[in-house]
Amino acid sequence: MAVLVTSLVLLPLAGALATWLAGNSAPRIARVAALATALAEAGLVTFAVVVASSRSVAGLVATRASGGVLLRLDGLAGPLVALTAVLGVVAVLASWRIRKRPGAHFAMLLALQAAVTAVFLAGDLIVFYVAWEAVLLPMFFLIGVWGHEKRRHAAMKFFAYTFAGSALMLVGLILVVANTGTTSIAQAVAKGLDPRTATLVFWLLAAGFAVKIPVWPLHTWLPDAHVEAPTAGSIMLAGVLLKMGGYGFIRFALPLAPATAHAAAPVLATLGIVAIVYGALMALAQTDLKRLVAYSSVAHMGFVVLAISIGSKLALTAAVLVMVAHGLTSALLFLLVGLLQDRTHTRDIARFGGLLRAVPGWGTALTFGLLASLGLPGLAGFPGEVASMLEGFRAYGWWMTVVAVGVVLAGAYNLRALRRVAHGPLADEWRSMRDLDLRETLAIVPLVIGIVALGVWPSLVSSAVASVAETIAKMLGGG
Amino acid sequence: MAVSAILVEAGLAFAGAVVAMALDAFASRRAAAWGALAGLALAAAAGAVSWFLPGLGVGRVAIIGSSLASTGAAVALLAALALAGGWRRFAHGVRGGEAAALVAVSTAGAIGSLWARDLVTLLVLLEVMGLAGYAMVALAGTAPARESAMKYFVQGAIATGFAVFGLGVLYAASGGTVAYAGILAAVEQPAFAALARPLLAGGALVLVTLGFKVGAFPMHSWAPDVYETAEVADAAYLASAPKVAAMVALAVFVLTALGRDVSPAPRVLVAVLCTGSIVVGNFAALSQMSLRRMLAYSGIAQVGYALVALTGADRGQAILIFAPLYGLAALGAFLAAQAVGETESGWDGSVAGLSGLAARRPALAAALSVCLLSMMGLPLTAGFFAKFLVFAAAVGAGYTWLAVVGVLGSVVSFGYYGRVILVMYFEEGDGTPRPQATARPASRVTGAIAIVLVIVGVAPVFAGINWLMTIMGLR
Repeated sequence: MAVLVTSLVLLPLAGALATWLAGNSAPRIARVAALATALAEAGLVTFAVVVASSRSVAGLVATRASGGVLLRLDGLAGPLVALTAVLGVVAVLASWRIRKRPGAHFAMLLALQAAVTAVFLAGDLIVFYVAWEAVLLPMFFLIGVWGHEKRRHAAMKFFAYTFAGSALMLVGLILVVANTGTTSIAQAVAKGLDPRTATLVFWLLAAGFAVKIPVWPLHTWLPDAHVEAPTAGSIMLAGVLLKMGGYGFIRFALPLAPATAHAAAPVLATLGIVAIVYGALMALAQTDLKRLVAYSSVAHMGFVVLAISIGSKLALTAAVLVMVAHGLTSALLFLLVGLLQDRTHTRDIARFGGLLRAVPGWGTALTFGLLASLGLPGLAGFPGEVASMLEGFRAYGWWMTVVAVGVVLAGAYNLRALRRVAHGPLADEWRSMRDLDLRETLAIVPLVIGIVALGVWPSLVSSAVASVAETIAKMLGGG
Repeated sequence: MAVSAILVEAGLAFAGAVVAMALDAFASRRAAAWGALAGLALAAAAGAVSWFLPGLGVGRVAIIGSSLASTGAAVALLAALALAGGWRRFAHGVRGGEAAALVAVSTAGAIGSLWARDLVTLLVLLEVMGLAGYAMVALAGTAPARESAMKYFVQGAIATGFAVFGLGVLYAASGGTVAYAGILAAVEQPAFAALARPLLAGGALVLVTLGFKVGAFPMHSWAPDVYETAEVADAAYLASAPKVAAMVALAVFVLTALGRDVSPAPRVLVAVLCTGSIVVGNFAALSQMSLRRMLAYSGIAQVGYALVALTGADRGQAILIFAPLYGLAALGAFLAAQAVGETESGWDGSVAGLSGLAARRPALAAALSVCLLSMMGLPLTAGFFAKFLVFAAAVGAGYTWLAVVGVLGSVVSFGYYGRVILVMYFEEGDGTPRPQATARPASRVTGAIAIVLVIVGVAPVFAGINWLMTIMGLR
């Protein structure tokens, strides 16, 4: 079964090579190959997750020839790998008609997917770091080559911020390797670190993860990168790349330095709460629809940080729930904004209005996406955010009223966007706009299904995460 | 066996030089270049053979303190690649075969300096390496080249003066020896307590000279001028082979003569050199317009990273991996500059002038990017594992802050390495068609180097990091 786990990384990589070779001369072959790869990857991931969930706690493992764990698919990695696979398909469909160097574009998308998958599957510290950095390059090129007006600036900023964070993270990982004498994650956690080293390791790792999530005030790369990235890039960036940070906290920072994590909880919680309110306020102030969605990501990821700071079994499960939910919701919203921009060449909220009448299919999808974003019960965002707030009340008491303000603000910016864009008088210039075609609908459908499924049946994710979350929560001294 | 493999390497390189000079006089300059190349290739091959035949007197264990035949082979290989990459000047140019002979002589000195275990031998061999280098720069013939050759020479002479002074101090304070072993014995057990300081001072003076040879802060100011004004192929050589040899020779001196574990002073001294080189090199590189000047300043920072390894508790294994892999990436980057210059006659040597290169020369742009990313230390390139081992050595010895300085330096380096990639890939170019030419030796060598850098960067992920150690003869 080791082959199965390894092929989850190698398949998109092989697809990337194929699309790159098919190249820019045969765009049709390139995009069909890309879609075929993404679909095959989705099927393979489904199969692997099902197999892994029927196994023991350890999950599916791929080892090196010389011994040592290379990749591991367990309950924590499963949902995030599945999310990556779904968004991989959506991203290919979203950029179907790309004109500029299509072969290279799809190759970058698939390489990105392979790298992110490897991050979630890594069972070895070196593999983890290599995969973590490997994510940067395809994203750098996706933003820089296929992005919008200020793409160069955004690409450099994205790379510089995340590279700065991950460089500090590297020192943390080196400290772990130097002190435990192993590069295996499980063995390093089992051996443990002395308190002083653990404190240093925690903050060095946290620097890398916090930039990626991103935690306020390290978030300033995010709006630029999200707005300037092409639609497929924004989908992957918001959908899965941000989750690497939350995943890193749960997989590395908490188990390697439980005592420090416990002591750092107030700091993380404060940063999370600030992000929830600040992100919502910023979203409320935006005139650019894509920027609004970008800032809403800051707010949603604030819930993840809050839940991680609590560190109980339920809270960690909630963190993963929020991550998967936000992955689906933000992907849907970025996709819809991208489709709108393709048609109108603007993202200025003030120029829209009444689009529900002009393009009912698109308008309905937007309504659905914004409602999911504000956390409507029955949709994906609700269970995770409510669970993290409930756990927050238990851990931090009435500080959660601040979060409640953030939730109200989330309602405000989402509904305001909905009213300004979908309702109200319809401007003449958009009267003859084209509604969603079959390809676009096909890109939207899996996201909608996922959002509803997770909303009504959150144990789809939470049951998978539970055992890992419990182990880590016990390390932190909770239950 | 009595004959050390590393002396065989140095001898073969020197023989290459002699043959090259003879052929230059009696045959053609092309034949001379072939002669030098053959000598260097044989030297590299000799190193490889000695690695496979431990009975030849060199164990496979190459740590500082043992024979460094594998490093010598790497130096010879880098020199051979530099010669091959600049082949066009022998095939078409006006330059005589003396350029090839100079490379071979300088390489012989460089390899020899790895063998030296006493200060007099070291200084003589480093001068052989250096003198050929000064001549190489001057040979470019332009006024700026002559000026920087003069600058290089004068600074080199001053640095050597420091070394002679240091040599005298060490000779006196150690009770009449210049051998590393004797100096170490004196450092560990000075005849009088009052001699401890002079010994350290003498060591510091020698370090100044070695710091000049590697281009470390604060003796770095020759590097940008030299790398920019010398012929590109010569700059490629100077930035790789001699630098690698000098880095390792410096490491040998620090580890086997200065008694690193007796007092914290040598480590502190090295840490100061590292921090200075990393900070000055990286920030100065940020503001460079010219590609070669940028590479020169970034090379100063790279020396800083390499020396970080000397704070470690091991026998300097990390620098034995870092130095050749850096040399390879730097060589590739300079040869890429050579390739661009050969095919785009209008290129002014600036980073901005590379605008849109990815569309015109996709393979070359990709190869240059790989070399730059490797120097940046990004995973999936060889440079990552090189830096990983160096920083791991520092962290293992409690110098975590130095590792933090190092990684932050790498982050700054994205500012200039990344800008080259940005210019090549994200800008369209000015749209004017430029004369295209077929693949030249320079671009082929660059491409081969890039492939090696990626293989060495990817393989350890699957094979485990020990694989690198084995390749470099460290296990």
